[in-house]
Amino acid sequence: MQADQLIQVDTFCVWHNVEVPFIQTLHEYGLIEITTREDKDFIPASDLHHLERLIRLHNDLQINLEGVEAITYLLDRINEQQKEIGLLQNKLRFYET
Amino acid sequence: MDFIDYYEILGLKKSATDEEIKKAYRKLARKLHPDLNPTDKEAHKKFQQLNEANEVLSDPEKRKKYDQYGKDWQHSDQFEKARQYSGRPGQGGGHDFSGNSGEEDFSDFFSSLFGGSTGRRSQTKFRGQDYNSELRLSLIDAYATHQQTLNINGKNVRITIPAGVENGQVIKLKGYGAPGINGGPDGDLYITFSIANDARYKRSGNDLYITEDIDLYTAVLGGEITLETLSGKIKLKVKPETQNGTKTRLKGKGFPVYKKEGEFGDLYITYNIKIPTDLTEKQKAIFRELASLKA
Repeated sequence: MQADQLIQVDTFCVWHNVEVPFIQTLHEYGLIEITTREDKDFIPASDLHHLERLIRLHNDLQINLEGVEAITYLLDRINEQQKEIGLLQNKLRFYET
Repeated sequence: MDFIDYYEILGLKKSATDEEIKKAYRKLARKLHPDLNPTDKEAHKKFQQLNEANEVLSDPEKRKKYDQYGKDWQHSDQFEKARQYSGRPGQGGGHDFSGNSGEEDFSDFFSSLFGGSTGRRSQTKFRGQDYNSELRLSLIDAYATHQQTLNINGKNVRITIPAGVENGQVIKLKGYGAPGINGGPDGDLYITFSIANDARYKRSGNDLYITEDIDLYTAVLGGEITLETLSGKIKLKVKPETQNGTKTRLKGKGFPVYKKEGEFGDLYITYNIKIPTDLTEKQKAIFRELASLKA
């Protein structure tokens, strides 16, 4: 992964006004990936949207991390099922026309 | 401008305690939060109303003003003057959600009554709201990578649409959503492709299906036909004694595979044998002769 595709955890925390240990806890829960380079922790830029969602769920709705984990899992499943519905609808169009 | 009943939004009576307001807000926020309803625009709208209701009712000063002047919000200026004389500072303590911190998210009613943003919000940087849009394409459009100019909130944006996009597929244009708040990053634009059905080609994934008419004589004796495909005309050999409904596959003549340059699906052809009509007497006689030769 290119260096410019990583965001330093410290920078992210300042920007989003969250504590570094919180990000580490999310990592311990397996909710995000952390890459360490030269003793500095980074998160992949591609995970930014996902991480921001986790923070919003935790801070806005005051949901504990177990709850956030369950919600994330269910949202991902819904997303997968919606993709599958789209695929099936396209197949259905094939037979309807 | 309509009066907005914030108590009704929270499902509470006017006599509700601070604790009841907090509880009702949290309960509804967990139901309507945009992260939990990513595709439900109605939920987003309700969530904005909910935030607005909480913004007012969780702040004792605002609640007092709302209770007193809510239905006669036009007179709120007089109230403001009276309040300034009293010298009481504004009180904070409310809580609103990050996805919804822009002044423009509040109703005209709210702005009239409270003068827009109240200044008690935190200066945390927030990412702008994401926008969703639909782009209609024909199957032919989706066949080749091309550029298209879209008008997004009055701004022309030129985008490249890669060949092979699927109906219902969503692509993200980073930074083309609503502006960030307090210097936060801009939101993204999500474009959903809607690809119209085509009269000739049916698409299933990367494969294309067509029905091709061939005359009886080519079907019986074999021959060569010219076939119109999305990549141009091709010549195709038809085997002798081809039956009606026979399928044949042309490898790599289907739809381009999304973001895999040079890769294509297959083209499936179903032959539809056309029985000749308006036969001459001579032709009929030959067919009768053929029929008599039938074993």
